[in-house]
Amino acid sequence: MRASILLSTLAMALVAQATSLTGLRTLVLLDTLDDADMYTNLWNDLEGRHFNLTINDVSSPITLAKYDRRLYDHIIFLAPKMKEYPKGMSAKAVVGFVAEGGNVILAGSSELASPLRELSREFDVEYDNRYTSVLDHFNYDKELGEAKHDTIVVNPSTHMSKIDAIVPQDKLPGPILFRGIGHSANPKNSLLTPILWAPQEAYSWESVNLDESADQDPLITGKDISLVSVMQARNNARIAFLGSTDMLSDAFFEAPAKKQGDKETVNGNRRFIEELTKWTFQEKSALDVVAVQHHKVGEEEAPAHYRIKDNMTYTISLAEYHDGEWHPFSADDVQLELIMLDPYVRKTLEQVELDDQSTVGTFTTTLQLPDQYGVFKFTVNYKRPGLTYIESVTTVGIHPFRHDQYPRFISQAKPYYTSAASMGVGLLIFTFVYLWGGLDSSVKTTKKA
Amino acid sequence: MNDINAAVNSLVTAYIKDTPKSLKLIDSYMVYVLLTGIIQFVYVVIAGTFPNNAFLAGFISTVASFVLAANLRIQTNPKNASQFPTTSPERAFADFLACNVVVHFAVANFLG
Repeated sequence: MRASILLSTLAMALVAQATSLTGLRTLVLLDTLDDADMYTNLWNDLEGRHFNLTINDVSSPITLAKYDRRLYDHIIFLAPKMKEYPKGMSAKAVVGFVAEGGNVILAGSSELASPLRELSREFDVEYDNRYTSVLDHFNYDKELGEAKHDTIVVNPSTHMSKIDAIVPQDKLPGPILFRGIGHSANPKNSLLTPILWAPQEAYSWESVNLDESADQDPLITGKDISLVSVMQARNNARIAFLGSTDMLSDAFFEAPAKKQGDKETVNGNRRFIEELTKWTFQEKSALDVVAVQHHKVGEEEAPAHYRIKDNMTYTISLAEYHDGEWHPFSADDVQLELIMLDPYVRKTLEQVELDDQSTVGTFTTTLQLPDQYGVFKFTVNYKRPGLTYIESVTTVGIHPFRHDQYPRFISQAKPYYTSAASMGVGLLIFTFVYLWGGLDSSVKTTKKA
Repeated sequence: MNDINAAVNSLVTAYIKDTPKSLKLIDSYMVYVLLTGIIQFVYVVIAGTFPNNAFLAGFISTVASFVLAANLRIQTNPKNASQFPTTSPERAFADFLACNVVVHFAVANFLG
């Protein structure tokens, strides 16, 4: 067991080359510095991915930003008991940190105190009351959770989100062990995604005495209890909310998972945390718009303006970042919209075939501009779960027809053309006959018989 | 019924006998213009007004030609000579031609 873990650590350290797009300066907050010994595997994993860890406890003052610039790129909160923020930090400072593009991992526990609870409320995540745990009498781990039924075993194939961009389920070698507090991520918030939730038999209650049953309805039960949720803010900063600091600890990384009625297996905590931190620290699932081109069919350069009903080709190149490099991005649902207050045209772009030299994924389409003139925005608004939000806007003017660009000699109008011509011809013939036809204009009168 | 028949018959015979040839020429020209206008109108009712400007140009050319021909008939009718002391038939025809030139120029421009 030990040997396999050591070997896998070595292997991961060799393979790990992921580099965060946001930066490498990571601040870790612990309740006391002695807690750092509980998470040595986590530090090794992170430092193997080249992060600079600054491990502080809550008593030392911290400066998050200087001269309006972040001094750190990521914050990991592993201090659930924190009653007050360290000097220099506040909920407002952390929210400002996220607004400047910093990523946050916030881990709670049953002893979660009010500062971090209020910080989570800023992001629409509501942790349950202090001293509550997620309890489950059917899915507890036989070794760690026998006494209080508070260490639960969660099956990733049924209780984890299927978004591969965040944590791919097939990479996890086993179930997840969890001991801590539950939270509820506002389902109406489209930026929040629950990643791991509790089994149907779980409930969130004060784990004081197992012989007593809950005498009121628990606040959250079953699948409504989120164990891990993530949020990607509108500026693409990523925040992960975990209910358990033990999930990241050495003890849980190395413990086998044994549920009542199942056989003992390796747990998937280490891999889960690795993928989650990779996602949160922008080491994977990050998209970028590399280039945007548009031009009339048959030309190469973008014109100064278009004309209605022109044929236009639009091309956008997207790249995806993972494993330390930019790769071509592949998708079949990237759409182009032509918007002037409302979308006039919405078309799905086709991907150009990738070859070995491709560094970006190219999406292109040819369409006819609408029969409406004005100032349009060519927009690619691509927001998918787990990927960075892409919004590429190109503003172009579409002009109406010039007076000599209207269609002429329309075949439906032939009768009118012939009639106008015949009027002229008739006039000429009438003139000739009238003037030189020898007509008499006198009035004849006859005697009435 | 018989009275109407008799009235129409006398009108037609009087017209054929008493009207000068020049006025009959103008009348036949006006009938030709009228027919062209009716044909265009029937066409637009069937086929729709798609090139609006072309329909209007064609139709207005017939209407304007009809009106100008009517004016020419009124002004050159010897029976009305007392109402037009300063306008001789030649002057009336010159007016007719000049107005027609303007009308057909405008029609050709609007025809598109």
